[in-house]
Amino acid sequence: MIAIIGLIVGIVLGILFSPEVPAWMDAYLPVAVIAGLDAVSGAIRSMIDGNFSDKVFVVSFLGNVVVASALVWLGDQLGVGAQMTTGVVVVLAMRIFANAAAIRRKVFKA
Amino acid sequence: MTSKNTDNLLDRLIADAQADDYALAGRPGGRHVGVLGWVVFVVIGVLLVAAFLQRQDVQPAAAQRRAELTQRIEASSARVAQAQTTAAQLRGSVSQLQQLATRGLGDDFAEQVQAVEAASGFVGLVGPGAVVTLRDGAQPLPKGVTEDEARVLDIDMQMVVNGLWQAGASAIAINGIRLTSVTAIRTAGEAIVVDFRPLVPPYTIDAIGPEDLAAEFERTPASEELAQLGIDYGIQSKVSQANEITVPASTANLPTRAEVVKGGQR
Repeated sequence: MIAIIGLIVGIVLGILFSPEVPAWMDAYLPVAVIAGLDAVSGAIRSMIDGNFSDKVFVVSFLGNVVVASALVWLGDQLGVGAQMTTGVVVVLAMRIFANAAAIRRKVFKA
Repeated sequence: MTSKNTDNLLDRLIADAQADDYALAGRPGGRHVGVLGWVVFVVIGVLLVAAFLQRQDVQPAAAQRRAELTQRIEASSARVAQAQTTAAQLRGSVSQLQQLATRGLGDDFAEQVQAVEAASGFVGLVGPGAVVTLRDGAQPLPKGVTEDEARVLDIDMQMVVNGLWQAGASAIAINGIRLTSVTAIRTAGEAIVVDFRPLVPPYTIDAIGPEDLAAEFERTPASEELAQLGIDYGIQSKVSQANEITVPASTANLPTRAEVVKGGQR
């Protein structure tokens, strides 16, 4: 619940200030957003499990964003940027799915 | 890392990807969210909105630019049409002034000038002739013909025009654009372009010529080919005789730097 409230506060702030995204961030923003969603889903899962930890949350989010962006950047340099983005998104989406499945099992006991 | 010890790369990848970071960290946790956690949640929310807004921004910008370009093209086309009308009017008055100026030089000379003017498309003409209308094939089309294939092409138009010249036409205009010796009939994209101006179907070809121009045209190979186009591709055509046809003056750029060569030699 707390996670969702935080997310909503961020969304409201974003709508209020409508941040301009610099052009060079175009390729990394979607990847960062997916990494963020992954972190949020992981946080919700751990809150339900009762083993949430600020440190794990912050470090895993920042770590994933950095690694994902670095991979996409490297891919861009090698001319396989789009494919690298796809790979990163697939892995992160898989994690989101796993977290969502875990949440579902806990909440609905099914 | 999960304890599953598989050799399969894909299985291992999936197991790794699905690992629960919090459980693996092995730290005693709870449900409490600290300041840093809050900040990151808010940051992720802002990121979401930023990405969303960015996607929203991209398309309207492109559409707006497109509309601007369309407007500019339309404005330029209108200016061109206006300039061409003025040019035709000026040519008309030049022709009249020429007649006045050459009055003293003998009937022969005046007649020659008029003949040249008529042939070069310098003046508009009125007279008997034929009208050929062409339309893209409409449903139902012949079997196995797509709508793209049922379109009138520039080569079809060229064929009909050449047929009309062959039948004795002395002046031809397509959709009100006069043909001269320097007027091209071409394709640009999906449109037929005459004198660099795109045509909108249906196509009307006005030709001034002998009284029996339509009948003469029906005897040319072009007429046969046109009929065959109708059978093969569903292109609709109609040839009719007319007593009074108006063909406007050409707006094509006449060669202004050319000099008349005396005696056929330099």
